[in-house]
Amino acid sequence: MKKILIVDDSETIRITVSTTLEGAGFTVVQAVDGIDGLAKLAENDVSLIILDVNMPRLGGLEMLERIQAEPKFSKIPVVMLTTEAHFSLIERAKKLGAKGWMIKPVKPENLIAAAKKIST
Amino acid sequence: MIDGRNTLATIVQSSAVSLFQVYAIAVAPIIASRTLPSNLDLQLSSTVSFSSPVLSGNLCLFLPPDLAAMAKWPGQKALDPKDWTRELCNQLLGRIKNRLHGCDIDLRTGLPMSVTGTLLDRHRSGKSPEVVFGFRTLRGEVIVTIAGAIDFARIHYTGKNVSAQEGDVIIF
Repeated sequence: MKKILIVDDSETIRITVSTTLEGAGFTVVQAVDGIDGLAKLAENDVSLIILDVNMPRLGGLEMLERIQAEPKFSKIPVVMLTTEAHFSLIERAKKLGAKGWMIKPVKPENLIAAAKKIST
Repeated sequence: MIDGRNTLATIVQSSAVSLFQVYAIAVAPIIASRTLPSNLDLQLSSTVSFSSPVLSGNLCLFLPPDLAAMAKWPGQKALDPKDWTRELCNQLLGRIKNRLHGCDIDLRTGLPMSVTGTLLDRHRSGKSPEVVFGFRTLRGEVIVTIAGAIDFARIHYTGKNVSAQEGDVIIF
């Protein structure tokens, strides 16, 4: 069973994403910000990271940079999930190594399809 | 020429209507600049800051306490109404921000906070100008306020399309 890490400071988002993906057969690990996300990443073998952009302590793009700089994690696909939609920010995430960008709120069927397509 | 106040009102109202629609809640805009409800501590409320050369201040969102029970989401798991309000505030400002890109305005946004209605009202007071938007729902009124420094003369559509849409999934 593939494991997905969701990193978001909103409990509402963590619960709705987890419920949706667990219903599609994934196992989901939750983290509340970038620092917690890196800790959970070290403890779990995940097939996909779903990452918010604006979070306290460590934001999503900063966490993405740290993931890409760590050979042990750099092959894990990352998809951003955020309210941010400016093309310049999306392009920045792509250059940093993200595999996708989803703008909240995302329909459950689209979230599942993206997870199935991108997870390793 | 369309007044900047009308442009901002159109952006806020369309953003709120489309956002609540996602959660299967119908909201209808009512007359702007209404007074706030007197029972603020019974309201679910949240605030988030924003800044740009044209608009800088806070958006506040007040929801009737029973509204969260109407919302539909995957799995129908019980969510914390306060956190849901905080996330709604975040998503509402996100929509407003994305629409303001069409006015060549790029807001920097803060992190939303869940606070009591009274505290939020005290925080709002004294900030001028303030624009109050009301929305009718089956469980009472939703109130959105935008307060701070607003240069209405510079809020006008330029037709630029520099952002994706809410709900979009972009695979690289």
